[in-house]
Order: sequence, then structure tokens, then C-alpha cells
Amino acid sequence: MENDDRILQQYLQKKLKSVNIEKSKECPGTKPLLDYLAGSLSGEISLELEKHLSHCPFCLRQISIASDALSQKKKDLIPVPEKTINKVNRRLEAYLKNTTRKRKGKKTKQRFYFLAMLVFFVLSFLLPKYFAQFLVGALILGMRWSLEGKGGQTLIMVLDSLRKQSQGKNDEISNRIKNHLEE
Amino acid sequence: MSNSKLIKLCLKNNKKAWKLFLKKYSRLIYWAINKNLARGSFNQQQNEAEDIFQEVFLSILEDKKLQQVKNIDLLPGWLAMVASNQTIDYMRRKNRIKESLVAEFPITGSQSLQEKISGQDTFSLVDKVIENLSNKEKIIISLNLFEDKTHKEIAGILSLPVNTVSTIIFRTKEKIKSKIKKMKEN
Repeated sequence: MENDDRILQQYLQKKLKSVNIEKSKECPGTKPLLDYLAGSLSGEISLELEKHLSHCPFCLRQISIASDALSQKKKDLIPVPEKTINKVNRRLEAYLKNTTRKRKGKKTKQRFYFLAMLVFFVLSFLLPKYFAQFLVGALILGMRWSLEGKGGQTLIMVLDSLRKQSQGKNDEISNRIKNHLEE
Repeated sequence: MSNSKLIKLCLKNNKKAWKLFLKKYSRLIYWAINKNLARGSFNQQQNEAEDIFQEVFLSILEDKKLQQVKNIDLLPGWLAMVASNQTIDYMRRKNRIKESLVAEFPITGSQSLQEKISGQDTFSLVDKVIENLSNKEKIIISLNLFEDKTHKEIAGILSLPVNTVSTIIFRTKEKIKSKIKKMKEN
């Protein structure tokens, strides 16, 4: 190997040992990096991202591996050991079972509040002596019923987000609304 | 089943969809993990790759990370990034990534103090040459030198003609060589 190539090689070895692959606060996240790879960023944003990439080994690594993944052929990939797949499958099943149980529990709760609200409302007319009490009860149960639902939770999140002006929360809310509308 | 339908069903916690997702993308995630482990300054172990794989998959499942995927065509890229990110975190937790701030000059038996000192100067020189490049040129050189990317791959990433990339890499290396030569002559 030529002397100059040897020097470059030594430089690389030294640099690789000392370079700090760590995500920083300035790192843009996966979406902008993927958009950059896809060529769908505007010129100005692209230039800003390149400025970051020129001194961020973490994001450079992300782009490099994403680019490899997108051009990867399935036949070149080695399979995951079966015991690992089985472990993951077991955790997957346990998680989904738990999630389904929680969702069923929530739906039962919602139905309960709805029925209770109806009963109180009817009783408010059947027992005029306690009209106000049963009506207030029906209103409270109605509020609990609406808050238990997705719409109510989304409303609370919107108000909370506006209060705290959190970007992460805003993204979560828009995803929920989008998913809700798609359903 | 199309990828977009698969993702939608996975987000609805459909068991069959998740099993299909695991079957379809497990090899890619595993590959990304192993690639990162091989790149780092630590020895690759199968057990670690398997542990990280479980963490990656379960974090995608439990944190509903698939919501972040906007462009389905880029899903493999996104998965590789998530796996890469998690691998780096895992290794940092295990204190395996060494952050060396001391210049590590390779010591050979016959090297004199003069050679060691000039070696450090050479490295600073290379650093300076790279520092004076434009942002795009820095990215090209970094992808070539540190990420082992070919000229064609770099051209694909940066949407540049291959010739442009080759010219920049050649020009930068020539610049480094001529500066080293001048330094030695002085």
C-alpha cells in the first residue's frame, strides 16, 4: 500500500475509535432523514439537513443504513434464530392478549355508564320528587360515559396540548384523529 | 397483503398482521442490528444481536412506533434506522462504546518519537482538509471513508451523478496527499 494510503487508513482507524456516535438534540429524527433519502425535501430544508449531516456521525450512520436497507435483497439476509423468533412470538401473544382484555374492560365500562345514565334519566321522570337529583346523576354519568370514549380522551389531549404547547403531544393527537377518521 | 394494509392492521393490534410483519421484516431488522454491531468498536456476539432484536421488535409493538411511518415505500429504511438507533443505545447501556478523546496513533516497534509527532500532525492536517470542504463534500468523504460506501451508493444517497462523487473523493484525497507531501518537505 502506498504511504499516503497507509496514512489515510491509519487516520480512519483512529477516527473510528474516537468518533462519538450519539444522538444529539439537534438530530432531526427518522422522518426528515428518510425524506432526504427519498429526495422529497425542499431545497432550503435539504441544505439545512446537509449542514447537520456534515458534522453528525449518528445521522450519517442512520442515512447510510437506511439506504442499504432500501436496496437490500431478501435473499442476502440471514434468518433470525428460531428460539429468538419463538421468544418474540410469545411476548407478542401475551401483549396482544393483555391489550384485548383492557379494551374489552373499557368497552364494558363505557356500556355501564351509558346504561346507568339512561336509567337515571328515566327515573328522573318516574320519580318527580327526586327529579333534580336523578337528572344531575344522569348528567354526571353521561359525562363519564363521553370521557371514557375515544372522542372524550382526544378532547382532553387537545386541551392539555394547547395548554402545554407540546409538539410531541400535537403529533400524537393528529395521529389519533387521523386513525379515528380512517376507522 | 399490501404493506399499508399490513401496517393498519398491526396498529389495530391484529395478531395475524403482527405475525406476518414479524415473518416479513425480522431478517431485515436482524441484519441492521448485526451491521451496527460489526461497525462498532466491540466484538459481535450472537446473543447480543438476539437480545437487541427482541428489544427492537417489542418497542415497535408496544410503543406503537409504526404510527410514525408516513411513506410505506420507505418502511425498510425506517426499520433499519430504528434497529440501528436501538443497537447504539443498547451498547451504550452496556458501556461497550468507548468514547476515546485521546489521539490513538498506531504504535509500531520501529517508530521514533519524531514519527509519532509527525503522525499526529498528519492527522490534524487531514482533519483540517476535511474541515475546509463544503457540507456536501464533507458528507461524501464521510460516507466513503467512515461508512464504507461506494461512489455509486453515495451518488444514490445524495442524488448526484457518480462522476461528481468520484471527482470530489479523488480531489480531496489528492489534496490530503499534497499537503502531507508539503509538510514532510518542510
